[in-house]
Amino acid sequence: MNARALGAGLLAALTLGSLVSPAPADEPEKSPRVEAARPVSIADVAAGEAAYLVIHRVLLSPRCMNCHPSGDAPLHGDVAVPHSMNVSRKSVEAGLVCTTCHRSKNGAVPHSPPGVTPEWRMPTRDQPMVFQGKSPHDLCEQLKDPARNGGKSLSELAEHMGHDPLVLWAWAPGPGRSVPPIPHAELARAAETWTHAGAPCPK
Amino acid sequence: MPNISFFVNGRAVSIDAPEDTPLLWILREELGLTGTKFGCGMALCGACTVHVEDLPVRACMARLGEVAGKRVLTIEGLGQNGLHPVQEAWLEENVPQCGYCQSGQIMGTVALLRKKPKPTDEDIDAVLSSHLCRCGTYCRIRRAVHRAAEKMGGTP
Repeated sequence: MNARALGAGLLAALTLGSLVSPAPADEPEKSPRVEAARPVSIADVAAGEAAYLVIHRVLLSPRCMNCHPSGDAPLHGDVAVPHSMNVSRKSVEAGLVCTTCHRSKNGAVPHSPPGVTPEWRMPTRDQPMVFQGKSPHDLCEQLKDPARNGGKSLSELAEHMGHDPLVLWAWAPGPGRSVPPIPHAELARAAETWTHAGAPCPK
Repeated sequence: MPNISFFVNGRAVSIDAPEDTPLLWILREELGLTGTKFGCGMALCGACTVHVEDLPVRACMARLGEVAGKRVLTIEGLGQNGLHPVQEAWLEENVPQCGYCQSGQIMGTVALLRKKPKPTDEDIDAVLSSHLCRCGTYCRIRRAVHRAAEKMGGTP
């Protein structure tokens, strides 16, 4: 790298770093979830944007998207049909919680309810976290926004994608269901890369 | 095999069985509580609905290990002193035909009224559409739910 390119790189790194610097002490803190800033290079941003596109492929796979629908009813199967039995957020609000049927293990036969954790659920009506139909840019912006992602910081997002049993379930979904298009380890690496770069979003 | 303890209808029980045994098997075969029915065995019909810690659960999908230390309520334990108001409403509306699904329907209704003491028809459909009745008693079920809500005076 020549001196000119090095200088341009440093300038870019400093500029990007300033974009994520902490607010001055006399400004109110915007969110308790804002994490300590650190300089981010152009290369980091490019890698982060590429990593997000990997994450996006997983988010739009049926195993993730089916519980993040654009409507109020969760979806079924690989063709995303609305949940049978008229199940929707209204059901949950009226006493039929997801864990009525979705218990600690997948049903043993096709078309029986999957399950993995007592926390099986879909996002609430006031924070629906829609994945279905979202562009990479829009979903990326939503994903990293604590006001729209269940209050998660970037490190918590990486932890969620790397270790949450509900996420890991997607790669062991029980009989008759496809798995996401990449191995889970690849998602975990992409999540680390993306969050490490400050969670940049593709245009 | 571990000994797994929990409470059924207020009574402490201890069961020596594999922890992945379906709760429904334990209720019916070990404890003799046959009011909870086996329907489809894959949580698609609602006939086996019980409550665990006041929430509805399909006993065919719940495993014994999941209820360790918890409170399980079956149709037999619903009325603490005589019949529960939902059971009374069921009788007054002559809801059952063959009756096989009705204990599940009633347990589902009690869960509904706990969250929606004055349910609309839409609320009823949102919860009880997951309970199948092959005799087609749905209209009577809906009337009985509204009657039970009136009896309970809006109290969950």
